[in-house]
Amino acid sequence: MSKVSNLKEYGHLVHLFDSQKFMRHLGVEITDVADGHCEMMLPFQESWSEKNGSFSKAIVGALAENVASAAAATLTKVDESFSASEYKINLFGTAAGEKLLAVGEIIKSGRSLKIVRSNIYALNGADRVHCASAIVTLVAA
Amino acid sequence: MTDLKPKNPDFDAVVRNSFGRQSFMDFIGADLTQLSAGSCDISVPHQAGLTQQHGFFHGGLVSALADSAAGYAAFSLFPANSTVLTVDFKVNFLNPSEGKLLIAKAQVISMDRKICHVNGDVFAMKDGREIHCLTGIFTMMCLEGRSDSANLGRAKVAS
Repeated sequence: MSKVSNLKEYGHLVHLFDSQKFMRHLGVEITDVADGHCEMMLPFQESWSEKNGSFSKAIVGALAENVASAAAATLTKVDESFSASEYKINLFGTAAGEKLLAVGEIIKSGRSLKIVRSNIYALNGADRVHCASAIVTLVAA
Repeated sequence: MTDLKPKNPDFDAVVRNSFGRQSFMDFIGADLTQLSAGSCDISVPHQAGLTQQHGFFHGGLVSALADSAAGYAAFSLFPANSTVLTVDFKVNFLNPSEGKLLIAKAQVISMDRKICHVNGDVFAMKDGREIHCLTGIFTMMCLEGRSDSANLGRAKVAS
């Protein structure tokens, strides 16, 4: 699932990721994790492409929500559980590239609410284009 | 990444002139405190008339400050003979907006010919500390060839 060496320190995140069949189905991999921070990578597949060969915007949205939930899970205590209640995504043109990089960063970590910013980048060789930003609200169960 | 080079060499004067004509910003006592290509800060000092029932700055006011800052961050990158209007924004309130001064800081993320996406954040200055009160993303539209004046420069309709 991931080559990130410190991932096992984040039990909530491991459990979340293991239980999310959809992310595994897509082929999402966790590439970096720290307190309040998570990064994921998703290689392109032809079957998700929009008319111009870019990632479907629904995939971009799914990744933005998921990386936010993962970032929130890094600061979730043992007996807590958070779930996304809403997100809004801004799309800056097309998400065309070999891979998508999703970066989730907690802005506010409260007891009832966690607010996370997700940024999505399209990677093409050494090129990195910022293609979407989302703000995700997560609510304690 | 988006090119943040201003298309209008006079953007500083154009933006400040526009801000000076926003009656609502004048009404609340707001100042444009920083302006550069793709970035704008607007502050407002505390006054009782701007608060809600807890004594915090009213949420609509906090959003309005961020909206104006985001609009002018975008407008600074627009060509001459254009104007700006907000298409949408989504904000999250992070902490109560409580303090002597509110500062909205906006930075353009992405800009194409028509649409500009802007990050907006608002901080309250309380006991010498900056408290992060609001974060949001604002979508601004560039109306090229339209006037930045009352009713977009169209003849006023009698009311």
